Amino acid sequence: MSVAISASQTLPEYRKGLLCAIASVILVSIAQLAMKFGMAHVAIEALRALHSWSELSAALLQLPLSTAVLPVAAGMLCYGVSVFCWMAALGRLPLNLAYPLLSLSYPLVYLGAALLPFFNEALNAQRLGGIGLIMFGVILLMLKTKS
Amino acid sequence: MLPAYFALGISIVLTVVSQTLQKKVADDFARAGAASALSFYFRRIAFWLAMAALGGAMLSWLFVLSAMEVSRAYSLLSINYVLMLLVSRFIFKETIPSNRWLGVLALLGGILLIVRS
Repeated sequence: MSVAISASQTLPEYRKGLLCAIASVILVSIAQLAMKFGMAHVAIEALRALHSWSELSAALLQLPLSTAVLPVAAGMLCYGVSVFCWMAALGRLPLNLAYPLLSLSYPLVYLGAALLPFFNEALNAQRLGGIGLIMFGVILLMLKTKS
Repeated sequence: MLPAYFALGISIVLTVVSQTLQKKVADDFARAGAASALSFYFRRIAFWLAMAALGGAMLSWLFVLSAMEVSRAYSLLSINYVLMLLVSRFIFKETIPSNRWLGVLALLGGILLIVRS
């Protein structure tokens, strides 16, 4: 599959841009899954019932470290790093190509949620169709055009 | 329901503003040819505005998710893909080949299929 290159861009920069964009999307998807995993171990209802900062901080300190705090913190870290990958991509790609690539996080998150043991989400025909349509859209985006 | 739609609107606008500023700073860095990206970014007001807008977008999105059906929220959020093509065209003066419009149309359909499943 060939890709579109405008006159102002050199091929290595363009490829680097695509790699940075894909790295950013993968980081965002890992962040989503990690935060979902972590938040599932936080008793939201218990947090909602709290009325003061001291009660809240006491409750937060009691959260299980390995299953709640670390995954959420790791997810936030991934988000933070993804911003810098993303800006490295934006400097090398036209915005009208870079931005739609973010939609790749939908297939990644859904496949992750279906394949990883903890999430155990079902992949039905409609979801697979949606994933296929997004992949088709991304291939269309990257097709070489004469413009 | 109305505050949820209002928050969704805020979230969409702040996302578009943040992405536009990020693109601007990234382009400035590419043109300047500076050695370190981070020290270049950190000196730009536009970068900090972009991060503030991103934070605001996330906070209002959390509110949206707590107040609106998730599938509806994600469906409406994908308006962003169309808005960002318009930003590319009219703010950054990019030429958008027709395959990009078609690609975005296809992935919007895919997102709708996924989030409404």
